[in-house]
This record gives sequence, structure tokens and C-alpha cells, in this order.
Amino acid sequence: MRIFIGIDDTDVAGATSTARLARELGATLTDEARFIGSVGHMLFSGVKATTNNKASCLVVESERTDALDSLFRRAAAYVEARAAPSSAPGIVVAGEEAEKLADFGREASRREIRSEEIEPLLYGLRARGLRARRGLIGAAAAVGLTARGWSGRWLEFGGLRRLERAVQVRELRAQGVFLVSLETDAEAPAPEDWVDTHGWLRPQLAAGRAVLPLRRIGEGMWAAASVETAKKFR
Amino acid sequence: MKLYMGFDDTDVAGAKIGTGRLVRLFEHKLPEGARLWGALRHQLLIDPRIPFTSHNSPACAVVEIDDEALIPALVARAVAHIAELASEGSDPGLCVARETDDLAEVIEFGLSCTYEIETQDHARAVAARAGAQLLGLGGTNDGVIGALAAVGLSAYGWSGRFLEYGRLRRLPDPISVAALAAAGIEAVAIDKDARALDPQALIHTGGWLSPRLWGGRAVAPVEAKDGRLVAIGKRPRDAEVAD
Repeated sequence: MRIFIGIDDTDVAGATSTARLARELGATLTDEARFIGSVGHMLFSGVKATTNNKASCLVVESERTDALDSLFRRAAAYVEARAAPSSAPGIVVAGEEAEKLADFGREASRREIRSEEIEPLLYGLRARGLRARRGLIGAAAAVGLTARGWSGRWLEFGGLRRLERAVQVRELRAQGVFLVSLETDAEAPAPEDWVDTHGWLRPQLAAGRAVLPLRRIGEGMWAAASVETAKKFR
Repeated sequence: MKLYMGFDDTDVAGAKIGTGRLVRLFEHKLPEGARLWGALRHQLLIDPRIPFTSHNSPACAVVEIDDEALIPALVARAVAHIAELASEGSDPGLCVARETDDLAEVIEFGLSCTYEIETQDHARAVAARAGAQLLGLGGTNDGVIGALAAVGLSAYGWSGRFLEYGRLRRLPDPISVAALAAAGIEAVAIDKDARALDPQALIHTGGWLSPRLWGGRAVAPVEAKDGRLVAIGKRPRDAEVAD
């Protein structure tokens, strides 16, 4: 079973970011679940946020019947222990029911959500908000958007962070990344072709998978699209 | 269920009807109980050792059928369609496979055709193992290679672009993200944030929307340009390669 663990509002300026905390949490769960990766979602930019309004969602898989409850307990305890004291963290854990939050995730991407809007949506879900509980909105949105599978970037996925800046197509495919050409011919890149990741390999979440859109920059050479100036996800 | 019908090498230089257009026209020949899900153009290797008309680009009609008993009639109609519209002197090939067939090796073959030179013998062996029908319909029969590749790449689901997909050619410009979704096309932001697009946001297509096949779905990659959301895909050569 695929399980989504949404986390938001765990940080304050200068502290460990939510994205990093989520990645570190993922690494602690490997004794009971297979860690697929961590997806970062940019939400509506008009709300008060530490740096920008982004939330994270861990994706794990487990066959244990008690996995949802167990992972929820562990994630909540981890975030409670590690979140900045003045933050307002939210944690949402969901399996198949995550799809119900997809439309909410899209709403949270385009407008500010009032805190009273989130409560009815969380009924029956594994959700915990600490202190001001503001993070529940982003946590639920991140779960919904990740379950929907058509937005956000994988901040952690397999061994992507350990790859060199220039990497061959076959190696990326072996990591589970789908490479798509944005050129007119929409051709499949060849296994021996090279990809310049600009040192920032963060595939998009599309069709529920890790997808890297590419532009051709030469014979047998490609570049990851739209990441030259990327700075926000770290 | 879906049926993949790959076509290739149906034209010669200067022909009025290229392979892409021939496949689009095949929609009119479909029997009752069969619907065109989409027509896809795929790009194979460009190499001087490979004889091809203009771009070495086969096409695949992905047809939804209610009953497998329709398959023989569909094959017969495709053969007749090629006989009617293929250019004199062309080397047509046709491949037909069900989505439920074991297409793993066909997919590998399709991907291989994008960077290596393949042979008819290999194509026939792969098709036979997969249970796919592969027919050479004239000339050198070299079209069997691209026809099988078109099926493989369509089943792969992560390359090629749609020549036809529902109301694709009748969609307005600009069009909202929600309207695209209603037409079965997912708009995806290609920028550093990869943000979920507002359903009401307008996408400018330049009158030519060219969805890509990503994850077996029709996807419109979108980027921001001059304060507008613009669908990626239109290049000057598109009019030439579209059909």
C-alpha cells in the first residue's frame, strides 16, 4: 500500500526547512516502510510563510496492516520533537483516502485557505496539528496533490542526490526517472545520451511518477528544462 | 480494451498523404464498436543508412474496442485503407497488438528503433513472441519495422505526440486548464516550481495544441512566457511534420 505523509509549517526563518525535516524523517522510517521519496509542493504565494509557501509529502510503501497508524504516530512524534518551537506544524497521513484531498490541494495552490475550511476535510483522517495548527492546511494539500500526481517536484527520490551534474539517460532510467523530450518530435532520449542536470536534479511529479522534461542542446546531449535558476527547493 | 495499430512507410517524397494523415483518416473506417482513442506520431532514428521519406516517423492509431471479435475486421479495414491511400512505390507495414499482450519486448524494440538500426527479421521475431500481427504490405516491406516500433512506443507511454485526440483540433485558443482536462488533456507546468495550475487559468496554444504522451496520458506541457501560459510544442516545422 502506498502511504502519503504530509508535513508543513515546521520551521521558522533560519531553522531546518520542512523539506529537509521531511527527508530526514523518511530516512528514519525504513525499518517498517519502503521510502519512495519526498515531494515538495508550492502552494498559494499570498500567505504568510517562512520563505515561500511550500509543503512536503513523503511517499512510502508498506504491506503492514497497521502501517497507517504506526507511521502516523512516528511522524507526529518526530515532527513534534524536531519542529521549531514557534512553528505551527501539521501532519497528515493517508493511504487510498488521500485522493479525497486532491481538489483541496489545487484550491490551496491558487488561494488562501481559511483555517475553518480544513477541519471538515480532515474528519476521519489521521491528522495532527500542533500549537496554531496552521500547518494542517499545507500538510493536507501536499498529500492531496501528491496523490493526484501531476504537480510538485521530487526533492528526494532513490539516489538522485548522489549523481553527478552530467549523467547518462540509462542511469536516470535505472533510478526510475522517466525522461521526456520537450522538442517538437517528442522523441525518446537514447540510453547513452547525456543529460546536464545543472547540478539540481529534482524531477517533476507527473502521472504519479518522477519525470524529467528535457531540451536537446546538442547531438546526444540534453539539459533538464526550467531548472537553471531554481533556488527554492533545497 | 485498447488496440495498438502501427503504420509506417506508407508514403513517398511529395505524397499528398503522409503516414500521419493516413492514420488520422483511418478513424473514418472504424467499424461500430471501435473508437479512436488517439493517433500518435513517433520519432525514430534519423540515419543515412535508413531509407525513409522525410522524418522516419511512424504513427499509431490507438483504438478502443468493446469486443476482441472486432480485431479481424479492424485488420482487414487497415489493410484495405493502406491499399487505398498508400503511395505507389512505398513499403508499407502494419502492426496490430492488444494492450493485454505481453508487450515488454515490443517496447524495448520501439525504444531501440530510436537510436539503433533494426531489421525486419528482428521485428518479425519480436512480434511473433508477443503475439502481435505484423504485416508487410508492399515494396520492400520495410514498414514492418516502424509499424512495430510505433506500437512499442505507444505502449511504452512516454514519448511521441498526439496527431489526433478527441476534439483536439477543435479546441479554442486560449483554453482553460479545466476545459483541457474535460477534453482529457492534463496541463502540466514546466517551471522550477512545477506548481498545480489553476483550473481557470488560460493556456495559449497558438491554434496548435500538440499534446505529448506521458504515462499513457495526453499531456500539454505549459510554460510562462511574457506573462501568459503557453503550451509547448509549436515550432515552424510542425505544419510539415503534423500530417
